[in-house]
Amino acid sequence: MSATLTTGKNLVESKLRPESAIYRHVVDAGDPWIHEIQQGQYFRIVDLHGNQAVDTLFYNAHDYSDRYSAQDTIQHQGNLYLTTGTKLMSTAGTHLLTIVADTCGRHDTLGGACANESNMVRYAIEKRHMHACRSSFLKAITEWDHGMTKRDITANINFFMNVPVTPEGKLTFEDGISEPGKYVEMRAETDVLALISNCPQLNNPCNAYNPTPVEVIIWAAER
Amino acid sequence: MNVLVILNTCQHPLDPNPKYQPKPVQLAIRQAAHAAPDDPCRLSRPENGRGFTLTERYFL
Repeated sequence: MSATLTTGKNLVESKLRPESAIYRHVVDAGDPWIHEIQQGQYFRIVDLHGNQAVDTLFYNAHDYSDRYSAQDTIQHQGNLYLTTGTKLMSTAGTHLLTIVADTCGRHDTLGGACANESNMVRYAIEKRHMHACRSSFLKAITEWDHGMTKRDITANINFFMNVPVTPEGKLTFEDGISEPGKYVEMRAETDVLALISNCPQLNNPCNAYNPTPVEVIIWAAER
Repeated sequence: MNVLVILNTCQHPLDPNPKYQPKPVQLAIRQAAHAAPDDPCRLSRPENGRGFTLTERYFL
């Protein structure tokens, strides 16, 4: 274990300009998105309207069974929160991506993704039908059609989501600390598959009760 | 709920002990009564109550 981060927010701006990107796409409120990112490419997620949770999973593009591991990422950096400097680690110890810029300062990887099942437990039995991230993930991998199934949907990252842990160990869903235009940017250290659910949840403050679009931007690898 | 449990006694990845010295644990299983309507776990928060409701639906 190497403890590289000891404090919370590590605010760093990127020098990359959207005009020079090779890919730009707006993920509409509540929608999923799935896309391959090649080794060396830079990948930015922009919280266009603020306080929007972006549930995200990463996989080794050459072996989907080797996927993002919240536990290994937390252990590796000795910190619960993701920010600039965090290495996103996989279940097999692969270094998938590095967070290289972050103007929000804190991202969650403990709270998990909302589901129809969690809608029932957290809010009300009759809220099963309401849109949820795990359904969005399933829709995306079904359309991706590369053999992934429900079992491939595991513990995720919640970019822009504020889930502080109290000194007593209590997990709390707080109002977001993100604002319009805040972004997080990663460099892919290997070829990865990115899977996003732009969270459609209407029952807690993770989206300020108002899901909004986010932009995903990719830049070519440096030569 | 009927559950499958899998456990092992490896040391925790963050165990500062440099030596591999796993220790034994003792396991015991006994029959517990169904959680009554006034069971403290069921009543401690509304989420728990709904969780019990979903579990009970498996046994209707």
